[in-house]
Amino acid sequence: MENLKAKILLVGNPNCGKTTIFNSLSGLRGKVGNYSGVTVDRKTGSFSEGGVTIDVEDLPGIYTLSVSSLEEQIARDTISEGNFDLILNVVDSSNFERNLFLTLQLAEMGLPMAVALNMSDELEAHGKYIDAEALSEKLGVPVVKTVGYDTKSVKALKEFLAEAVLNPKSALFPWECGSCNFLCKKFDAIRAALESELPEDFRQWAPWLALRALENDKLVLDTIAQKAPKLSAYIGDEIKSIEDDTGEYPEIFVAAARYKIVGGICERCLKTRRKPRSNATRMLDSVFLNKFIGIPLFFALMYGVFQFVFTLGDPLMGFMESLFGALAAAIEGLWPQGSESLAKSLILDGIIGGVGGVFVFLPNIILLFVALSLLEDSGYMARAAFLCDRLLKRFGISGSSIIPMLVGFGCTVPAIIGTRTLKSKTERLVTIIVLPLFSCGARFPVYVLLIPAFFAPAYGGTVMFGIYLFGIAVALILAKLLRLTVFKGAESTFIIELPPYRLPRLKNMIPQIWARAFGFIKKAGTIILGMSVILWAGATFPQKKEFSKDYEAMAAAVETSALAQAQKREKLDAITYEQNAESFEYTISGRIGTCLAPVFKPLGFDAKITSALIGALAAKEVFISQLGIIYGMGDSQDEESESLRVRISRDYTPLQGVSILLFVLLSLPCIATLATTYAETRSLKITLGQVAGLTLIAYFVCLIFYQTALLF
Amino acid sequence: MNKKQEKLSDNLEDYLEAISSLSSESGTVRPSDIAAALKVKKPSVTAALNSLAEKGLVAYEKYKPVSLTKDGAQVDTQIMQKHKVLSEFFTDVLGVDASEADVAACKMEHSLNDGILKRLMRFVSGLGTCDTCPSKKCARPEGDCFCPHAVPLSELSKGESGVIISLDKGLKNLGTYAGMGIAIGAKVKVLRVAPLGDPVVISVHGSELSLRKAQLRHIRVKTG
Repeated sequence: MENLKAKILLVGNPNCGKTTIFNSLSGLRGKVGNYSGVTVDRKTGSFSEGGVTIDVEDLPGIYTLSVSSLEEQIARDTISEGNFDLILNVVDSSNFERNLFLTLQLAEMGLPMAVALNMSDELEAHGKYIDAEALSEKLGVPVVKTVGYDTKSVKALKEFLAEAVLNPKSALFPWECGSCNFLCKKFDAIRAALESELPEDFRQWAPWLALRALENDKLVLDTIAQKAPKLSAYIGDEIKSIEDDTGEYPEIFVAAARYKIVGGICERCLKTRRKPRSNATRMLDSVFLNKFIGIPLFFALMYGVFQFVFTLGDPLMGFMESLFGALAAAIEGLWPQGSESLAKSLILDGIIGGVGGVFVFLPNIILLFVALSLLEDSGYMARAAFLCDRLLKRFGISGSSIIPMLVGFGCTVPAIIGTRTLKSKTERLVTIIVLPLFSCGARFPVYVLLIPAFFAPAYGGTVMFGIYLFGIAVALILAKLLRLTVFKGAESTFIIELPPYRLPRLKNMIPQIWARAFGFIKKAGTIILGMSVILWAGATFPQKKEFSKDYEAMAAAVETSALAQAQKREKLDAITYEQNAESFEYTISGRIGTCLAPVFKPLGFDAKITSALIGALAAKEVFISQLGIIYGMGDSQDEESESLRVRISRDYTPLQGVSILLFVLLSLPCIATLATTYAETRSLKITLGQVAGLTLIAYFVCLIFYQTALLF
Repeated sequence: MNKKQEKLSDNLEDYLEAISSLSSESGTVRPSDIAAALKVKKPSVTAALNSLAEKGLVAYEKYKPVSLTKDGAQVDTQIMQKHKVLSEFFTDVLGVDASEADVAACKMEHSLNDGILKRLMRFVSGLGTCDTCPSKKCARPEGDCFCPHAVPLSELSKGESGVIISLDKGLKNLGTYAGMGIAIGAKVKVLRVAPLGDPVVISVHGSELSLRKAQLRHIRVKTG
């Protein structure tokens, strides 16, 4: 049997269940990639049925075929390329009316098409059903009912598609004039003009082009202006005459007329079987969007999500730590005991240490991706945006930014990727830039180390809370400033759909989560690797050969002394620490720290802190181990180290402590964030701007704080 | 707006009309022709022509034919337009006999100010029957309605509903609004308001959308 190949495009509204259908059709063969140059998921896959191999591409969900949003542009471009045999328009049956708008727009293009009435089970639950045959007759294309996650239904869909793709039917042009008076006259006039001007093989497009011209489709109007300027002028006049006569844009009348046709189709095809049972979504919303408990409930839910993530995440993080530890030990075994090999140091401390330090967080990052997917697919994310919009509007961003911001408290990386749901490009960029100020999980250990060193236990919690709050405040103020200056622009259109609550299906979420995690590892991984090596080099070279004291002699003296074993150990450790500290000062990082010390002195930092902060460029928790190294205590210090904490509380005043805390809060968290910002914005300017901006803000805030506080 | 026109009396407007129609019929216009056409006495014609000449609307010299100046022609065009719109309204919408319509239009054209004219023109430019207006007698053009009960959607409170009759130019991305269900003729209902007063959830064409009040202000609906 000859193996035929065909390609279909899945086109439909957001929330119509296209993804479920795509996953059901392609199964494990589905891939998630990116459209070139943008951060929009590109989903491709394939399946075989009845001797035909069908490639499937799931286009982004769109409400209309105009070109005002990125998703719409991608969909239009892909359709215009013409590289397909059939379009499967997936329709949410429970939202039949609104979904038909896009169906009609596709039909107007006269493309080979089929319609899948998805979620027909939901519609039945509402007591209604759709007469698929009547619809098929009206549109002139085959129609099938589907339930995206039901295996039997998917099998039927595959058979349906295998047949439809071999004998593709093009939709009938759905407009009958008579439903509207003056609009039809103009439409006919423009269509006639186009027919006379267009070359023969394009003449079939005249009706569609006329319609798009009336609907102010920028792409169509620009093309006509380029190819046929006189025609363009004529069309412009006709459009202007409608505006003059009625005072409104013609596209409004086209939309109204299209909905009239939709109404006609609904009357003919949408039937009621029985009275609907109560609407579950409405009931849930009366709780979730309640005037009094809505917002508190939102915060409670988000808190619950975080608890879930960290309860699952912490043991997994521990597992990752042991994994890397085991890996390090295994590799260390390749060299003889006590070897000072540079290669060994590079691999162990530089690569495994640096990269491992970031990848230890991978379980948390993945769990936060899961949380994001859950919130989006269940429909709750739209509600969250709705609840918080008023608050965020004042700062130049919209409610949709709230979820990425909250995710940022866990880890900034998934938060930045989570901004993909934001529709406004400007708002998305502003949100990405200020996200690091939502103090992430990696900074938490630093707070845990430093706060008890300077504050009595009773105040510890308050100080912690105050720090987080301060971060939020700076973020919002910065957002507002950015929106007033660099990212000026009118308030964006805030219009989001509140889809019905649906139970998210794990099968659907996995491909996307996997794609994002993998994408992070690939893109960020390279940058993190590079930076880890650079930082390792900075902390290793140049190597000090001649020391101020003869440490070896000192160590030998202790060995041969008459002290008890434990005391000997202590003294030997102290000697090692002192030697390490001196080594470090000699290295590039150490010297940079010493050089920059005067710059940071007004902030209350001394050379040690400054050096530690430079080391902490890699990742904030590295601050602690770096501090340990600088104090000569070795790199095994963590936030629970009493000894380190004691040393710190002895050497620095509480004011300096707060200054350090503020700097850690406000400066850029880690290179993983940097890498992700670059990957998502694709702009070196913005990424560097973020680094510079946040560092400068951190510097000046600490400066002002410390100097002002000294006056009291 | 021509300042002179504000002060032009109905009577003088009739003269301009007469001069214009006579000149298109026979070329030259003499005061006696005007007197015959308007059924008035010659001295009245003289007085009127003098008045019009003073305003710069006609060129009038004794023993020479009368003609409209450029300004006068402009004023006349405006009057003619009003006449046309009115008489079309009478014949096309109200089904009035053509000659009756003409007479009525002649009399009414003088009292039609520009605002009313524009609305009447929009009305006549597309005709249909309004099936949502409570009185059902309102004949509205497809896609527009001057129902006095129209209010901005932002003024509706929870539970109230209406029909969209206009989307004004303040809304950007009209295509997106249409694709999501917000179009003229659509029934909308305000479902709920956010705890902080903004945004608002509306149901339209079977789906629930959240919009800010500032956007809703640009959408006018007819309630009831």
